[in-house]
Amino acid sequence: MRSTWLVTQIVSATLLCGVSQGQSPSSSPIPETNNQTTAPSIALSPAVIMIRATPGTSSTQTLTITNLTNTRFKFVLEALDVVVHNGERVFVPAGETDGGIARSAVFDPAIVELEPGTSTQAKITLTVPSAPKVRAVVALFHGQTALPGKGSFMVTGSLGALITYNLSDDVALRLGEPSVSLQTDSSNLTVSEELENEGTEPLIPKGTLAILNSSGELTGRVAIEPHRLLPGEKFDCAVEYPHSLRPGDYRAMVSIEHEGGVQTSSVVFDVP
Amino acid sequence: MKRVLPLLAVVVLTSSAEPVYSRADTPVSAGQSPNASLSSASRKNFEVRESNQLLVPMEQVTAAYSLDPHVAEAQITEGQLSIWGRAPGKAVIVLVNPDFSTSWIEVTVTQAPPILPDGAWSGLGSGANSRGYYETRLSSDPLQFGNVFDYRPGPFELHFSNVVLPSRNLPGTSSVWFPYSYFRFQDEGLRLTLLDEPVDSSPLSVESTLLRGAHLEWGQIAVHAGYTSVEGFQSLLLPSESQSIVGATFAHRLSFGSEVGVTGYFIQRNLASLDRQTGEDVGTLFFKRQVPRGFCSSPVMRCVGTNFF
Repeated sequence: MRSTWLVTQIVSATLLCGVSQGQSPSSSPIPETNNQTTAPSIALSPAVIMIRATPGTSSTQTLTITNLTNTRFKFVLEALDVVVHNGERVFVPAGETDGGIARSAVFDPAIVELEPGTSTQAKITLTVPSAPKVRAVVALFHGQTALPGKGSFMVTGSLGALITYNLSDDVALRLGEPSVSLQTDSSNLTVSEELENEGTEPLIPKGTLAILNSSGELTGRVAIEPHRLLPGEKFDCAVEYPHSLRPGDYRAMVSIEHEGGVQTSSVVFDVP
Repeated sequence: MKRVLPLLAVVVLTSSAEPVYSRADTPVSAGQSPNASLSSASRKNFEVRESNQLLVPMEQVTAAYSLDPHVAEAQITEGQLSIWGRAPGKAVIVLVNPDFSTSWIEVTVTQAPPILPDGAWSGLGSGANSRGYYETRLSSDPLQFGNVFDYRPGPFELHFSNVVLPSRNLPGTSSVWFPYSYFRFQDEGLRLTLLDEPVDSSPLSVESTLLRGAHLEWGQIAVHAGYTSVEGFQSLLLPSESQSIVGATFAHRLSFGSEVGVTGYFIQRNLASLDRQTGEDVGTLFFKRQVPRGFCSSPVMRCVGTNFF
């Protein structure tokens, strides 16, 4: 999995970054490919690292960043704690969160410079504190290279890799009450449901929407793609049923599978 | 010598193997819809081989669907849960009861053995001077080791295969099994085989059955004595769900690729059979005719088997 930042709008940014600072010692040219049809991009791999650990343990991860543009880029590496407020993720600088993990981050190297068409690696070492309060850290490649934006504005771009920690088996997922938006001539039937991670560990729920007829027999189903939920995070899961249902009474069963088992909720609806 | 076993083997579990799944109608939390329920599962797992189907008698279940359809598919038909293994891995099957409460079971799909090419000899060392070969395979998900050994000195032939599945923790079964092994002596119309041999006597007696025991073929007479297993010997040498079979076949070749014969078998009643009145002594007369490929597709020709008893 790679985190890719498309920079199609900066194909001509070479002129902006005219100051050559020499190639990073750890960078290496990537094999030449036919890039004429590929949009310029910067990629960070892996995009997500999931670690099962215990408090007090350290681990080192290797991240690879690739520059597939014609521009020379410079990044400063930093770590951010990922906390959840009101069901949404908030990125907090290292040291500003009680029980945070980002404050322990050690990068090697701490600054990365990438010539066009090269890739390089950086290592991040993180230590889980004895009483951790967060379960995710972002290893951020903070862009330092200014690029022309709209008008006279200059912009910079950054990429991050998410590192999550599972420190116990305390997992709990709350399924909200499902709601149904009936099919119309221009839209499919949609079943929506709110998922909330009520445990202390990250979850990756996935599942299936099954449509049953009034006799309880299976009419059809749709897969629900995996979606990562940090502790406290909410997600409005909306699933479209792509087929047209005949008039009648139906029941939508939403079965969600995660690290703690399988949960199913259902709602009855009528297709006129 | 080697025959291609049917890819689709239907395995019917006995009523004693009925899953102990619990129904769940416990609301997850007070804030949830009354219809929301936490499905629960027994620790009993099911296992099916890739490209095979598993039939499980399942009462009071109106629907079933898989949460991992790329690994296994499931559906309810006529009171039976049908599980189809698509690819190695683990899958969760959700079962829906008439009151729309749910439960779930876990299914492990194991990797199917390789399909070797037809011929008197196959394998890595299939050259003219080769007398045998050894092959080992490792699959990662689920972790599985496979070994195949073939050796043929003169009229003797030894074939040995075993599979080790370390993660297999089904109660009463072993993580090591020997799906197909035999020792054979063959010379001038006489063929003696010990352990496994696929038996194809007649459609109404024993056909497409892998029999583990002793087998003698001498001219027009074939005698078989041994046992078979609905689970395909997915345990050690003596499977728990065995079925004894003893009998003989006399076949006389006619012209034009035809054959007429008689069989007599004692077939122990299948424990999985729902009909307890099934007879155990079977005698059949048969007429077989081998037709060219595509012959039966002619609209005026039918291939018919007749039950004489």
